[in-house]
Amino acid sequence: MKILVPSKRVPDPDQRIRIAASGHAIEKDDLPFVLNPFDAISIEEALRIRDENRAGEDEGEVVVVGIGGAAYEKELRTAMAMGADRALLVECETAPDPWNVARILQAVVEREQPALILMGKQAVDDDSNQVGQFLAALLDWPQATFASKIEFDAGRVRVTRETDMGIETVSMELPAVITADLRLNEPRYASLPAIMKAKRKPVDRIDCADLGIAIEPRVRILEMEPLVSKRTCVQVSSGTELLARLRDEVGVL
Amino acid sequence: MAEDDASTTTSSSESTESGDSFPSSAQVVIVGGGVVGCSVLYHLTKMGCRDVVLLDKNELTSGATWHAAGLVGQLRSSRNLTRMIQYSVELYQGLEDETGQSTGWSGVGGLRLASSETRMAELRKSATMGKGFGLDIHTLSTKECQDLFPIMDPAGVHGGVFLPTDGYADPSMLTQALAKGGRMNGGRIIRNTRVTGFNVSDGRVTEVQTERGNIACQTVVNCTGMWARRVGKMAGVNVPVASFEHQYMVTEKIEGVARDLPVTRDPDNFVYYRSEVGGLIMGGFETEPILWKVDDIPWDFVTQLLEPDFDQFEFLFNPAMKRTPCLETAGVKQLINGPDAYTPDGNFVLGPSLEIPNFFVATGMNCFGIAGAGGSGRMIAEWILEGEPSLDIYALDIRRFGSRHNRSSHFVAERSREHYSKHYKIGWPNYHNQNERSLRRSPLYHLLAQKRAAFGEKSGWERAQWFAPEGVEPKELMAWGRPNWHEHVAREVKAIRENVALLDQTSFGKIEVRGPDAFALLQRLATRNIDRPPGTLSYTQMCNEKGGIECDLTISRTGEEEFYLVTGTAFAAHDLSWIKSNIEPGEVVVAYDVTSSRGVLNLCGPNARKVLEKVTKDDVSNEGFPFGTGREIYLGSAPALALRVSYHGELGWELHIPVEYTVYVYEKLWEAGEEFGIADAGYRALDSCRLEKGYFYWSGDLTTDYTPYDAGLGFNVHLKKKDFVGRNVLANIKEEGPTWKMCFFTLEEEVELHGSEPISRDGKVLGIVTSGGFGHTIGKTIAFAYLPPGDAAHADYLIEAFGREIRATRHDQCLYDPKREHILS
Repeated sequence: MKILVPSKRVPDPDQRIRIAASGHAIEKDDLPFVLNPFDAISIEEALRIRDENRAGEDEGEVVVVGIGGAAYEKELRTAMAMGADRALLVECETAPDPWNVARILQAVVEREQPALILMGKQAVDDDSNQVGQFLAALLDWPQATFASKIEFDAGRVRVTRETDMGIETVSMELPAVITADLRLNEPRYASLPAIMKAKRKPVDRIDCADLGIAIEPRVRILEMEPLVSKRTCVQVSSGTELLARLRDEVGVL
Repeated sequence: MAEDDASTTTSSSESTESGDSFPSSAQVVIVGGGVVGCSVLYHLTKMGCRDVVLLDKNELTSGATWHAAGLVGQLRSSRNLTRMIQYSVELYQGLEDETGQSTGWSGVGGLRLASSETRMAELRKSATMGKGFGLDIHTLSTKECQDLFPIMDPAGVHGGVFLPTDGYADPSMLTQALAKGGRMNGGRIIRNTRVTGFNVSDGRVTEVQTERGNIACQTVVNCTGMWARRVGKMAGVNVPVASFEHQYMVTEKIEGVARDLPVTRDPDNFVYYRSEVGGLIMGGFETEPILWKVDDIPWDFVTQLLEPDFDQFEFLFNPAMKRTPCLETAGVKQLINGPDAYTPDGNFVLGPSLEIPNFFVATGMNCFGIAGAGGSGRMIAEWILEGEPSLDIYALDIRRFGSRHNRSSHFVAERSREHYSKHYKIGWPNYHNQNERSLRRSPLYHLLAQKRAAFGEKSGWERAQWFAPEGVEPKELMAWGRPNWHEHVAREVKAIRENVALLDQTSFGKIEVRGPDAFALLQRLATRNIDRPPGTLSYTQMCNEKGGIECDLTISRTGEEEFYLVTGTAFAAHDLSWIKSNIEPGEVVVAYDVTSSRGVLNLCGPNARKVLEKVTKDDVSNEGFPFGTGREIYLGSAPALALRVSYHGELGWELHIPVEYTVYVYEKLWEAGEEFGIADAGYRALDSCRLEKGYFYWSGDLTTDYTPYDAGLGFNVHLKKKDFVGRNVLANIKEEGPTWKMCFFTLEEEVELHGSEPISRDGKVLGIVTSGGFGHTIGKTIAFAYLPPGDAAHADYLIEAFGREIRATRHDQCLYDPKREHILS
């Protein structure tokens, strides 16, 4: 079964973000980037499905897709180091908004004909949580988002979803779109030899024109502001004082 | 400042500790809150100085400290550096009890593997040296190494050494513990406040300027790590550091990696390991490092890493995977790449700067900052509060980089690169720097090169070490056994002792001191009475308040108010700094470096006078030109300041010639000497001769750890003199007896000594060798060592070198011509 894993390259969540001079983008100089953590989870799940033969088919292939510039190769190689069979880079100068990402992926899907699309529920830079849903709609495929467990049974896939109202299990026909949530798995770390081997593997490249897609932006970023918290700390000397102040000053008791 | 507000995401707007207003003054201002800055704060406040403010432009550890691997290895190349780190270990062990803040100290021990025979020899030498330093250190077999480090593949491991008291700390926790200790003892820490400049007047820093206001102060300590050069520049102080990319990887859990796995280094494979939460941290020192930046490091590069570079890391992980095969399958959590500041000789830069005596520097940790911070903080605090550190740490003193080329960013980058690259290579004692050679050349360089001189490097100078006959390559080969220059140096020593030789000593440091108060100043600094008329010279020491020897030099009086000082090649900046810092307000005197103005030729040997007489019309007879005098003479048409001194112990003159006449004088002397068979000689021959004469080398034999009485130089201490620095302490010592006795030894076997070998008797280590080498006239290996006076009366001792004990005989006098007949002839 061929599994397509769309992925995104995001700023390292542990690093400080600075706003660029323009005011509607982030400063990218000296900023380390990483594979979106939810996409790493998707890759991991795809690898397990392939290696454990969970879908009950003899051969599996995991293809990771990225949309962006040449720098993206690094993250795609991380995916191959983990064990992905192939990596595909759709070359694109500026990062498309979620709708256009979905359109590009739709074109990729038509090329690759995967049986399953497995991707992160959202990217940790913009937290949009839209592409999986857009893509399923464009393809007219069933979708199961926020997956915490994926099982296969006689040509169908059963997905356990974590929602704010509780756990929900859905059963879908293939092909389908599944977006991964945090508790689906813990992604593996690639070993050194795997990392170095992946460096020598080719990354297939195509561009939007090859896919017949012209980007039609639907989102324009007006402004970006840094997060500033004006937290003030007040020291109290005892539990009694704490209670008194909570009651008299803050008014919560 | 708006720019800073934008970059501050979640920190509180309250950046001072207690909500107090910003200080307008402090006795000491520390700039930089990494592990070193916090250690300085801790030690200053612990020693009773509470009026200390530490400033950081962001949060503590946000420079390089936060991403350090945290290894603490005590065994270093010198005893005092080892002592400093031994102190660091003691400190880190006790900090949690003292402050309530854990340091993450893990005393898992340190293992160093030998993956080559050469390395095993070096380790045996280190173990020997370590014992002399009082370190608990064991030499291990391959199997013993494997027992301690089970994940290794023993193929190719010859053995190793183990230090049970080594370990690692958590850099952030350690820094917080030091900071807490500093605060507990009254210090203040102010974060998110960047220093923007310094107010310097009359050569002293008076004020630190920051984004939030100015702080008047008496002392500044620059602990800003990678920014130290940039910060120093704001005050006009040169800090020679360059930042290189340094990487280590962190793995996920690995089967067989126990929590107490010792910190392990395999320097032949350039890698180090320690355990980390059941997995490994593995990093190393590649031989082709990548320079990140020297100057203009952005202020806002805080808590930041560089892009991991797996291609660069390949150099390290290929051998690592062989040594520890588990790395072939272990998952790589992260490859951490962070810049670290390196110095041109791989040692820290500490102490008062040359340019501004109350502007201290404590940085350039060369990737062992966690290990060095404890000891460095203490040394700096002592330096500031007591005037000098309690250990001789000249090897770490920033003033050793006084020569002008050390200001060049290009030079700093190239030499730092060399020492990063060399970090895990064999530490050859006779190593000469290789990058940026041929920087300072005497006028005689090309002439001597044609005469097949083998050049070594010191302080940027090319210096002839010895001369190779036809058919022998003039190159020094690094090896542990008898060196390839042995027989050639023997020949040159013979020429010096029996005939006549010419040495080029142009690299020697030269200082002129002039003015109405020149005599008063020097008389106040010299231990010897130098109240002698122009035309005389004195060999003397200069001591500090504790009686420790700061300078060892000759002072020639060239006029009533004119003095010409000669010191070792590497010490001109240090000695000049010592002299200048002791000028009292109101004294009319100038002191300056004139090293570049004169070439120096040493004409020496029993036939020296015969040669000199042919070239000069001046009276150079023993009556006309006695030993201990110096004056200008003419050699042919060229002037020279001729000083009758002797470091080699033969009749001779040191000719200090204005540079442009140097080659002419050499040619004239050589021509005159041909009938006697005059020979060229190099620095190694000079060293062999001085060992035979019991003459000393400052920074090796004479250091601030010792007084002239310890060294047997009591004859140079004229207590009757009115007053001089250290006089009272020295007077007490003379009464009570010195702590040490300098002794001379010959060894039963020929062996290469490099210093720091332990000397013992009846199983007790009594001291370490300060200078050692082969005396070619007497045909034996000579060693100098300080012994406790009570143990210094015996005839036989044992000196341990390369793990073997060799019988050594003590001599009451120097080994050659103790009556000084040759010098005085």
